[in-house]
Amino acid sequence: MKTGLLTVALVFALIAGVSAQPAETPRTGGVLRVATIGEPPTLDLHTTTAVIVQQVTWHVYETLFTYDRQYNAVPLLVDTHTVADSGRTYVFRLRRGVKFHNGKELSAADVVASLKRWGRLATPGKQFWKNVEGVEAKDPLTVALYLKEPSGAVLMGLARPNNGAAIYPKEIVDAAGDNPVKEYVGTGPYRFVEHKPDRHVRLARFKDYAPRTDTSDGFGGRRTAYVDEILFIPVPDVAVRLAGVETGEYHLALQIQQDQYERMKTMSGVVPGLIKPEGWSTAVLNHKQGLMTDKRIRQAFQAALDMEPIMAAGFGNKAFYRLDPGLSFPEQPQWHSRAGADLYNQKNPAKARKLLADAGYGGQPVRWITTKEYQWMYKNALVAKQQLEAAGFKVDLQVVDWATLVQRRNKPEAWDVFSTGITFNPEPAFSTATNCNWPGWWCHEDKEQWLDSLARETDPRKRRAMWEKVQQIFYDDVGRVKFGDYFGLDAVRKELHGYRPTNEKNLWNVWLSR
Amino acid sequence: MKTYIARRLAALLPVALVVATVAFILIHIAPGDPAAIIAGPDANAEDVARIQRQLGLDAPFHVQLFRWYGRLARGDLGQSIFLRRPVLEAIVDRAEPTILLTLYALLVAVALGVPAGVVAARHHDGAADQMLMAGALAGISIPNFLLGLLLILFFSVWLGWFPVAGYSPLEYGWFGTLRSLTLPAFALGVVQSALIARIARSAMLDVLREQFIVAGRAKGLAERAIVYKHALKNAMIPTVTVIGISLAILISGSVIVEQVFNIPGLGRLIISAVLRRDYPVIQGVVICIAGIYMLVNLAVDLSYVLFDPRVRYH
Amino acid sequence: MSVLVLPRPAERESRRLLWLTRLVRRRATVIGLVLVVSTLVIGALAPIIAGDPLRMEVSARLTAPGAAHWFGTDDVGRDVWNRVVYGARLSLVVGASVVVLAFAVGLACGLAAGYWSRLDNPVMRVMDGLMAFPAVILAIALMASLGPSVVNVIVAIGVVYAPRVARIVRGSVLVIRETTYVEAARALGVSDLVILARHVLPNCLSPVIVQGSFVFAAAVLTEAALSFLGVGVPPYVPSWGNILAEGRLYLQQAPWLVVYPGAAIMLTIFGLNLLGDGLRDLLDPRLRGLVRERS
Repeated sequence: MKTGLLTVALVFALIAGVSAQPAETPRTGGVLRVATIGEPPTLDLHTTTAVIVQQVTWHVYETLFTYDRQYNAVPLLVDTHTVADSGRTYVFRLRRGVKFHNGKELSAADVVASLKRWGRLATPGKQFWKNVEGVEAKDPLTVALYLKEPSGAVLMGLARPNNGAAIYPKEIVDAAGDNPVKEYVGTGPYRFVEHKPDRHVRLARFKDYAPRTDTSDGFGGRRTAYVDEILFIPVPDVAVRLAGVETGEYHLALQIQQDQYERMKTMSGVVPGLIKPEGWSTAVLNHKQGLMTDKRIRQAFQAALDMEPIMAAGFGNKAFYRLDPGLSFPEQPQWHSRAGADLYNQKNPAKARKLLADAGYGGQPVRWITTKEYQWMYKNALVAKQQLEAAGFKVDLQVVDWATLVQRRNKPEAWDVFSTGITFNPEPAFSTATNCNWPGWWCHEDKEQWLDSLARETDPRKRRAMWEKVQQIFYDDVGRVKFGDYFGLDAVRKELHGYRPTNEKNLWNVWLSR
Repeated sequence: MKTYIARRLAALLPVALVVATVAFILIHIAPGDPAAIIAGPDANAEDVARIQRQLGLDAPFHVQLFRWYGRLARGDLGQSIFLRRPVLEAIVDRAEPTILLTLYALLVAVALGVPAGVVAARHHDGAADQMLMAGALAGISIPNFLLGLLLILFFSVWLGWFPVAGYSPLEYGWFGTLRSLTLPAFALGVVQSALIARIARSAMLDVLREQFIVAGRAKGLAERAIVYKHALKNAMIPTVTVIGISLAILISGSVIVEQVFNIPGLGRLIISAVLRRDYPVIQGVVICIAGIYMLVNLAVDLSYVLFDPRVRYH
Repeated sequence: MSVLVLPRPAERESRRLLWLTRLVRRRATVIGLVLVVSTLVIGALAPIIAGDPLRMEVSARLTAPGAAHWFGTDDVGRDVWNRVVYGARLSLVVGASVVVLAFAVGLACGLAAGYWSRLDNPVMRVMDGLMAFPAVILAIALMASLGPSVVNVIVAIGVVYAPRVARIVRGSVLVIRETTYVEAARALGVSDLVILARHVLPNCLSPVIVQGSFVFAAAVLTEAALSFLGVGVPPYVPSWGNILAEGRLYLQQAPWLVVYPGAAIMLTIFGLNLLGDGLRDLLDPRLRGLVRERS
């Protein structure tokens, strides 16, 4: 009897052991090769909203907070924090023993210097800093942030990865001032090794990384660097990018054209990674200089467009786009609204023509800069151009590479419209889509007031109402022109495990099986 | 013979001068202010003025030209706007894949082209000749990028024998490098081999009709000896010339093929420089490539000494 | 009709007939002629036989060739037949213009260099300097400076091929200059320009005409390559190179995007090469002589 039971127990143990077999045990080692859309214009996260920069550098830098799976703010470099003075004072206690890549230990002085620089240089940073009275280091591990008014968006603002409040060593911040930093040193699980322009950006595991101990949830919690090195390789040609994953050349290829989805499903060894939503496609209008300063011309632009063919041309497969007027996505019910929907997707060239006549439009070419590096931007612009010209516009479509577009859009005299995508952002208060300082320079008194209130308000329902007001003004004043929501597609090798397709693309906690 | 070599070298000098001048002019025929172009799209008025003073762009044209010659003589090719490093450094960095690809393609072109031309000449007007020459004509009619796309489709995507794109640097092993360069080398080389075949064939035909060949036959020498020992050697001059020209065409072609196969060589460098209006890089690359071509031509000229004794006493 | 000019007027008529029959008898040349003429006709009649190459019918994107769209549609719904036909038009315009430009400049330089020995060295050094740049590289660099447009493409490619024409012309001129009737004309005091126009120019045309076909082919090929790389004509101008570049991604699912423009390029260039070969064989005896003496 006893031996019988023992045998059964043994068998069970064996079965349990076998079924717990590591199909999913992370393996350390290997070089992860990631094919990106092109060269990052810089590696200084404070200075640009270009998504490619964040996707590369946030393995190197860390912020005080980050997002969990639900896109709530959770602490990263912060250990605990307290809120005092009815929401006007935040006191952050930093984690002990966090090391920078140059060996220095993280201290409050580094945080203060970095936050100040972020508040000066970064688009969301400047917005955030409008409400900041001051920031200081109370002791080597404590930072106090004093606000002018209470705000519901502080932690989210500090957690934002794109153009985020990365913490650099104080010495590097001081040395750079307002110029781009010369060294790329952070506290992240990977450290910067080298950047060979047009070849790769190479990151290597940081041996002295101090991970959090809580379980990983979204981007929060424990971050483990399984792979030895990460290579970000610029491959501007999307055909080559995808083909490279098919043959195993790359483990991950970003921004694959959506109409390749069906084909990708048939490729052995390749897993399509859907990012829903990724962002919304838009034409940014120049409110500072040029044709688009005239509201009637803007309204004509908005009226003439038929969004369905524009989006269909850009994204192909219907599963990858959606027409929706919201500045936020239906996936965010707490923010999504249909305010201004009657001005979205008007398909009314007659109205456009009349508006152009009223404005006295004399046929001057509308200078529209776009790029083929994001294929859909080019196609959206191409179809929109055809529709606009049918409504009486003359459009000069200039196709450049993304790095040039990002630089040129800073010069108000150089363009009237440029193409871009507004990526998914969980916190509307810092959205670039509505920001006055961001290229496009859409500044509207009422809108600025609503945005300021939004940043300060803590009641979620009141915040939502404010955001709706902003959205209405977005359509009435034609801040930008939204084409539609789009979902992203990455190509993932099956040897890459643990990868969760998101906009931000985190490559910690992933491992290679081969 | 020494005078021959010296004369050839001396003849290079004026050509080199013209090359340098053409490269200099490139930035001046572009619409817009050269200083603004060099400063980049991000600069403001003071930056542009500073660049103007720094690079002496406010000096008169001929002064600038002579300063340019001086810089080139010292090997200073300027600074890249976008890469923010010396142009020469960027070129040296990218040279490896282009050089290897060009040599590999040349090997393919010669290995396919010369035998094809010789065989066709030998069987003049026969079936082999007609077929080979038809094939050669088709070969020079297909653009190398089209051939590259088709090769990718057959050998990479469908058969999986070769990587679809990319370049494996030598430091990771020569086998990987060869494998990653094979399809591009064939895309380049096959087209070129067609040209070489045609020239080799016509050169061989010319020679075979020469008196001394007829005399050799009359003397009873074996056909093989005639073809391979006497005729081939004499046919080598125009053939070597076309091989030299092929190198130029191959370097040109590698620019295109590098784009198709995403190889980080000089071709990709110059294309991205053109798209970004990075003039110092464009100027640097064209000078380097022209320089290489001139040296190759010189080598070809000097090689005539081996093939044609008459040259020595010219 | 006859573009072949001979030195001895009396024999012109009979020689012309002989050459024409020889031309027609070589089948290959006829095929070349047919191909070239077809492309010419298609390109010329583009507005009649094809619709708007820029019109996008997004709902019909990536449709296979069929009744509605003979060559199918591309990824934004443009009809490929329209684009290929207009692409033919562009290639022909570019090819012909390049030939005209390269010949005009090349003839002028070659005549000057060959006839007046003082000009020989400087002019030919400049030509050699230009030829030291591989063709596509120089074209790319010039396009970088000039900016993308059809005219600039023509200028850039024309500048690239003019020196080659100049060199051939110069070679002919050097030989013709030494002939007795030119010497006689000079001795009689006939002005240089008249000599050039009446005696020299007509006799160096034969090798130049042969080159015409090859320069045309090279121009079509170079334009396609430049446009494929993105540094040729602007993206909205239908060019075979542009169409190929855009169709690359769809090689497997929509091969018609690559097959039709690819075939168009190949057939056109094949035809031009056949024609060029045929012309060269026709003028063979004269050409041979020139080639020998030049080298």
